[in-house]
Amino acid sequence: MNEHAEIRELLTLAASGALNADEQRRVEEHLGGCAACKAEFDVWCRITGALQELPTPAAPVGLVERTRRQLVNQAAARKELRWNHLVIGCLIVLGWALTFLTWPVMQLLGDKVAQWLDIPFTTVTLVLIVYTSTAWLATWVVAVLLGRRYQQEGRSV
Amino acid sequence: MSFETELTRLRSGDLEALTALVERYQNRLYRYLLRLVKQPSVAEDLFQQTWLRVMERISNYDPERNFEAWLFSVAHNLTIDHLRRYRPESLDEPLPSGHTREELLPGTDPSALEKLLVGERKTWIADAITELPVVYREVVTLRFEEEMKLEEIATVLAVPLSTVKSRLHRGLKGLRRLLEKKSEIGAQL
Repeated sequence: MNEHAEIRELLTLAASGALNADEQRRVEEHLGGCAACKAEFDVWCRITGALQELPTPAAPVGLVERTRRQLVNQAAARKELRWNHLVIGCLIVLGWALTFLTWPVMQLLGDKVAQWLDIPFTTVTLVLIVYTSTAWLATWVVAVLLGRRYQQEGRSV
Repeated sequence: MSFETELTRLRSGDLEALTALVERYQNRLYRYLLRLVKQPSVAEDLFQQTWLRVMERISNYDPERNFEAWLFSVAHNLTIDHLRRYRPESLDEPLPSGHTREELLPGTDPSALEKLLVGERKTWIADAITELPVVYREVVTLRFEEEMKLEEIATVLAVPLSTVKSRLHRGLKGLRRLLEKKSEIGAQL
């Protein structure tokens, strides 16, 4: 490609102010001695000038307010989600603490409870196992239900 | 309230600061989205999604970065996802006008075009932009309407600077060809 053709390819970017200093200088030097390229450059400048003067379409009335309402709703939803996570976290910690405390307490007081209720010690143990299993099963069900709800909320936000 | 103060408050989760930024950028962001998707209702929807995404991700925003470039990159990503989902557009696909991309090469006679540019027909230019392929349309609007530097456009689009230059060059050539077609049609009327 000769110098003339190379400069022609740079005219769009020259008219866009998108050339580096060396390229810009090279183009300007060529334009000083080439009327055809200068005329072509002027056309590109008029196109880019017209682009810069295009009117800005105004955003529709109420768009900012509608956006603000959505932002407020989302902020509230995120706050509720964070609070729910905190509550669930505390409940999990409490659940584990109760589980770990139950068995030492049972060993200490199990005999006395069995005597007081007048039932065998194995029955007290069995009741405790059923109680613990039921509690953990219920926790899993709640966790799954909450997880599904959060997923749905995540899609709708 | 200064722009820096708004940004600082925004990063700490202040909703009023975010609303102030929505107001500040409403026309520019809406114009950018409208140029890309063409339909006002879709542009409005993407406008709202953009600000929701900004609120979600503001904690990841690096204050050393240009906020405008970051904001427009969020809008760009959402728009590209939307276009891919609802209107997959290939570079080889014919344009709405019926022209192919290859036909968007510039002509040689600028006389009719010069008449068009001199006349009160800037709406033709706005119409011609909408007929450009989206990749060129986006670079042209970011450069001339948003007056972004090429480096900022590269950040918004997440492409190399050379790609931005190439798209700008091709976009302008395509635009000129479309304007010349329009000016020829206009001259015949």
